[in-house]
Amino acid sequence: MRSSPVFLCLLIAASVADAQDRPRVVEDLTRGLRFSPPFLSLAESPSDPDTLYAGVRWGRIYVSRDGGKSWNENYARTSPGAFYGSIRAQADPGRVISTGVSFARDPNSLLQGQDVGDSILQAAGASARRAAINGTVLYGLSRSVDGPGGAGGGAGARLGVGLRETAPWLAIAVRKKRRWGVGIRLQQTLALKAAPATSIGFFDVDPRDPEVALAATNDGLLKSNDGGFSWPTVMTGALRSQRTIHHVLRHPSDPDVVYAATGLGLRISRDAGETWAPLVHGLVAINDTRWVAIDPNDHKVMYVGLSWALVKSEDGGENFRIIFDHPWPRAALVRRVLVDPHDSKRVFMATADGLFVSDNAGYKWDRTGGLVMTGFDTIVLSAGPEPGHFLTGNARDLWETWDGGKTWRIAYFAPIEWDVRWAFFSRHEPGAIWVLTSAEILKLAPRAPESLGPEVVRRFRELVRREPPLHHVVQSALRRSGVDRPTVNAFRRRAQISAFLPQVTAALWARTVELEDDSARRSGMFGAATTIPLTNAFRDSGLFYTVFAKWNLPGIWHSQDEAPTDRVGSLNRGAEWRIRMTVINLYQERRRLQLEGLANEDEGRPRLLRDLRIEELTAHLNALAGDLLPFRPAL
Amino acid sequence: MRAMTLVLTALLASGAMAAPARSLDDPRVQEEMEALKLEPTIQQAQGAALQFFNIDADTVSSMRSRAKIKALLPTVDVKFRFKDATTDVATIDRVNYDPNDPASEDAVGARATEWEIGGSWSLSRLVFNPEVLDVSSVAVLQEGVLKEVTRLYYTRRRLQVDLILSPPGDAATKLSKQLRVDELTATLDAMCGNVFTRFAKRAKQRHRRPRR
Repeated sequence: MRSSPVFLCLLIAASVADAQDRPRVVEDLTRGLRFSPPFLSLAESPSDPDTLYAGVRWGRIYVSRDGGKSWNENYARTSPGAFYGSIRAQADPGRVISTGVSFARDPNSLLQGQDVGDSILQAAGASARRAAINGTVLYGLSRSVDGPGGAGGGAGARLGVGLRETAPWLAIAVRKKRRWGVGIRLQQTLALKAAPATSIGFFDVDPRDPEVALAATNDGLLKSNDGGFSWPTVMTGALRSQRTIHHVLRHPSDPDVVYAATGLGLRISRDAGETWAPLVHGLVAINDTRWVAIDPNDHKVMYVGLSWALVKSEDGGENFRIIFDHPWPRAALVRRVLVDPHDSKRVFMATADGLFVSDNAGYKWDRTGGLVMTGFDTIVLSAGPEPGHFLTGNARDLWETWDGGKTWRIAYFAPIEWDVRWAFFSRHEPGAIWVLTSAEILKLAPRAPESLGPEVVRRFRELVRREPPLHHVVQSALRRSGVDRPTVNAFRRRAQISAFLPQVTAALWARTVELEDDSARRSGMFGAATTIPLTNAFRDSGLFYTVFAKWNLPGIWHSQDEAPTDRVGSLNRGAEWRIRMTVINLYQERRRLQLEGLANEDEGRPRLLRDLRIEELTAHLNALAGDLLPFRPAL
Repeated sequence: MRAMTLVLTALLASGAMAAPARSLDDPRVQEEMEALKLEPTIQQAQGAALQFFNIDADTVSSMRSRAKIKALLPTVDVKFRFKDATTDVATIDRVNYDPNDPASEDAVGARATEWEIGGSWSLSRLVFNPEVLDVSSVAVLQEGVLKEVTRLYYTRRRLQVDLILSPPGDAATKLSKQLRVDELTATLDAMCGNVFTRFAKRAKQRHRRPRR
């Protein structure tokens, strides 16, 4: 019997070692999504492992109810711009409702409803400029050049000009009376054209109901009670900083109590996000709050990360005191705070300048991770299932530790194309990590990769061999669009040579001048005058020419046109980025579906829908890259 | 009143029951699927949309090549000047003659006509003209139009296929989905220069025309 604890320890150690060494399989779940990244946020429902929420910068929210295999698209709010399609939702009993076509909850449905509305006029799109005047927000249009997206329409949550800000109680009353997603949404939609692009920065899913979620945005806090179909605003503000919500945290013991870290103070709701009140303590009342963490073992202990310090409360948010600040501003900008669920004294703090750890409940802080983390904007912090297992990371890499932060090892290298935006350990699959990059939703699961039969592999290789590789398609699309970088650079280099050629001005002119001089001259003396008439005629005509040449010789040495820094250069770069990203997304999704089609010999509707999607992707790629891929109609 | 309520309830109950999904092998399904092939293809829709927005490949290519050689033509100045002037000169000999009687009178009439034509060539623009790169910015618009049309087209197509394979049991859902198809058709038409309406008309005419 004495040996049993030892045996147990050995067993735990063995299982931890096993977990450490088990490779993770990367599963890309970005399929079927509209191509409007960058993604900003991802959340897993605590109560339903299959429900996921993903948000992007442009006001779109994707909801999956099958663990990320398919996604429904919804609008939280959108940036103004061209709008094509419906705003209203389509009710379809027994199915998940989305704006547009509803396909979800059908396990056979590979592809979800994709509503219309991305901007075709994004280049000429407008974003909102707002001015807070006496508490009323007015909206004016201005040109937006800051990235893709820019759709109009959607299940927005804005009342008419300023009303939402000045009458929050009215909004709540109407919502209660008319139910969620109905009623005020129509009025809100009227003002959508003037709404700004809404970044969905963070989600909190109610632990009791996967259909209820809060979305922290740069334009207020939104809440959905219907699985993401509608997103009315539950908290807003007259100032931009008030409307900027960085983080939402539900109290571990009372899900109705929710904290929201805003750009202008920490707020609390005691009715699951319906109404909000500010916390009154001076340190959190008006400061730019970034993150809230509650000690999972002692719910009265609360950490609040500010843009300049970390503060702590030991009495449930009544009183706070500064426990960390730093002379280097980036080190004092707190991104995330994490209390070790197995040891409350160990607290991690991710800052814009690296990762810090405290072993005495936040009163003394040391840097951790050494040079691989110091100086990097640390945006990921998550606790794993085993004691001492934590995940952190920046835009480039994810790192994990199994010994409470003493040593770190790489968990994931981000691809060059995309940045890591968010990552966390799955609540439902031990050891699995959800990774959100700017254009991908990935799941790193510690399981053996699914083996494909040799015949499937052979056929897939054959397929890949027959079709042009990705880089070829990307290059072709860029060349067709005239934004291929080598071509553009070669063309720009000609700016220098062009200075050898002059500005030539040539002129030819013809002139005719006729002059007639009629004169009368008197001659003789003392009255014996005689008048002598004289007439002279003069005519001059001629053809003249002149040629000037002007050389701008300094241009041979250096021409400003060589550098792509002008307006045209900026537009070219934007176009190149968009086309490259679109082609890569389309191509990758097409490849995944092709492999899936080979691996699953399914028939009927699932196959037809998959083939239809492959047809769509092929048609889109061919239109961009010039008929490089074989087009096979699905019907 | 009670009977009417019962009838309504029965109707609603029957409507709420979803119709069974149909197989692809069903001849009616195949017939309806065949009908979809009479509609414009995705390539036709994409081409029509690009033409409608005046950003099809040929137009853009033409714009680009014209921008390249536009410097062959000069900026031209043409001037014409005409002057008709008369100058009268009276010379008075104050020693010998009456001051009121001039010793000589000159009347000079002059007419001048000038034509000038001048041209200025920026020869350096033949080698490098930034407008060529500026035309490439249309790529953003092209990409956006293609994305939108392709999405709309296949959103509509999936809905059509869904309606064929899994026709809704209740009238409300069916009507809602059909309305959605109409809405997407109208949106596509607005972007593609009514190509869908034209195809539909053509198909209708073909259907009406008696076969010889």
